[in-house]
Amino acid sequence: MTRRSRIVGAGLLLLLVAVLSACGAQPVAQNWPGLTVGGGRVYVISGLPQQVYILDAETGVQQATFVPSGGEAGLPYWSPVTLGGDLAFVGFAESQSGTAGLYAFDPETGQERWNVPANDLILPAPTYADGTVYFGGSDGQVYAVDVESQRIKEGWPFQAEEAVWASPLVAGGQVYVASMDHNVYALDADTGQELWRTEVGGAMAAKPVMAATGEVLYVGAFDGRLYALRADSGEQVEGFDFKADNWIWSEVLLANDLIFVTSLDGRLYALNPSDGSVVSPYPYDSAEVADASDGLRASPVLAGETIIVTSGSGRVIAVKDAQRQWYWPSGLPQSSVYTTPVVSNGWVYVLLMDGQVQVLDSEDGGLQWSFSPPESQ
Amino acid sequence: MGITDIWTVLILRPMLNALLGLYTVLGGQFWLAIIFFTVVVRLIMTPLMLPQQRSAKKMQELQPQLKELQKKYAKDREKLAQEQMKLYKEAGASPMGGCLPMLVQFPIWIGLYQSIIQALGHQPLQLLNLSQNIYPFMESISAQIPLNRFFLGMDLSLTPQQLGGLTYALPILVAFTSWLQTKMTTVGGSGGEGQAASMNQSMTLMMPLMMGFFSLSFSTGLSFYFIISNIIGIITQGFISGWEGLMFWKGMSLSSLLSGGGAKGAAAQKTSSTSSQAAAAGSGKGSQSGSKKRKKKRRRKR
Repeated sequence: MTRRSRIVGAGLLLLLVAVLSACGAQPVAQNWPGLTVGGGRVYVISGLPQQVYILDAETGVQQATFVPSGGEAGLPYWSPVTLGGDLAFVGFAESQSGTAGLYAFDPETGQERWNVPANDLILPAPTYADGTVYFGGSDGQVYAVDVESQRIKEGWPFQAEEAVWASPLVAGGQVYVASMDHNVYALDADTGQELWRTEVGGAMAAKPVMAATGEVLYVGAFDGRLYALRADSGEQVEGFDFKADNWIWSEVLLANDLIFVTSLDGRLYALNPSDGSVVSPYPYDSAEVADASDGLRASPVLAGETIIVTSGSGRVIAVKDAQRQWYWPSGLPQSSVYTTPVVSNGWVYVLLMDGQVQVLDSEDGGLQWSFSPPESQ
Repeated sequence: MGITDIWTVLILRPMLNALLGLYTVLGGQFWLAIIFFTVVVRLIMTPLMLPQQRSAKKMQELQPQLKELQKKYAKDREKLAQEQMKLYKEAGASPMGGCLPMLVQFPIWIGLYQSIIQALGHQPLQLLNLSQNIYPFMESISAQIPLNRFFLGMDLSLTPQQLGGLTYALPILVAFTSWLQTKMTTVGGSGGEGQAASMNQSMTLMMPLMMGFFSLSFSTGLSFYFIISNIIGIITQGFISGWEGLMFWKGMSLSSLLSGGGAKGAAAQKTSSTSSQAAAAGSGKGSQSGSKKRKKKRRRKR
């Protein structure tokens, strides 16, 4: 072996080490950050934080943080925060100690009140209804925790066949759960008993949305289809048919007697609620201002007369009648936006993948204030 | 288009979609898809691997002559290098022969690792990336998400460190099959002395250990690729240079293993005995094929 070949061999070995090490199990975020606005405060869970930031919704000034007890060492997994009663709820898990559970904290001071352990990660936002918090886990279990007794209600948890990544919908005494196992479940909100289940053509990670009549549920799936199911039986509504060119990961928005839905194909669709047909002049294609390949993961939200969509390439776009009204930022975006924005008091609260909060005027997209958590600075 | 996009378009997407296609064809068994994928990759790489394996065989045959040259030009390193290169050229061997296939395998390993992580993703961001990398004509796979990632109760997307228990056998198997393959490639090649031989011995032990170490912290699906790929490599090398290297236990001792040569000590003994016989027979320390070549040369000179 010549000296040259030895050097080349050693170089290749080093390259292999470097490349494979770079691919290793690095602590990276596996979910998008969470954003909640309510009670004059903003609750922010950024990329890889060990705490929830509580900000003033008017100014963006940090008021407090919530740090869960235990599990500060490893990789944290959070659900978005949900407000209910006089508490805030969040799902938290930590990789090293195996800590996982639902945490209740004071929404103003961030002080932990209590927690209920769970078996696995809680990724979707919990749902609060009538003194009970419902949430799903990555092991497919759906829990109902009574806030007063701080215990899991009798008859719960319910076990789905795969992970639950969608927030449960609670309506009319029933809990509707869309699961990655391709089933939509209807459970008795009190007993946790399964009332019906309907298998659709793909996995679901979006919360079902109930029509104003309370008779029909709409839920998008990874096969690109939007399903309309009868709330009382789970049967698919006859004649309703819509399919996008890529997965649907977002909740639908019901507004102006239309169904608005975004897809990872990068389009915002407006559909006729009766048959799922696309209403002209929609769809709106975000490729107009963003890279066509990045898709629209976040749900559309209504801001006055415009629909706000956010794209994986980091654009916030206001759309009216399939026409862009404004978009942000005007320059190159710095980070993806997978988190659904929140509209409150005429402002659009946007959370970027790197944990930055940008607050925009819903009329023209003007920046009101921004917040960067210390770890993203 | 940035380098990441080029990587995605040229490496990741084709590999990912090939795996997904195999998954669909093979009845939704991801472990089967990995095995078939490995076989296909090895078949595609055969034109690249064969010259390397033949070159390795030639290098083995040249060892006694190289040793002879080292002795002859022990004080003149420049001349030694010239003579070595001349010998390689005449024999059609290349000491760098192993580099190209190794270089080609890097992107395959990394691409496969990324494909497995994406295809078997059980975190939202992994699946989000997957959705952007499925070819439009493969969209039917979307209806099968999440894919069946289990084999005998083992989650192929997790690492042995995460899974624990019997899955620790996988890195051991990866290291063992890597070692066996390297040993078969270099059997008889330890006849040399000094730095080069020592480097060779270290590589024989270090590379498999490193592969085993990596397998500890990578998804078990990738271990499947390494093991199957190594087994195919062992079989191919066996057909080219014989099955002698498989008898690794012959003459194996703890001291030879710790010294970095492993069972190669046995092979080295065998080679040196062959060399001695050749030396006694004629021109010095050449192997049978080496001495034959030199005899032919002498005849031509006469």
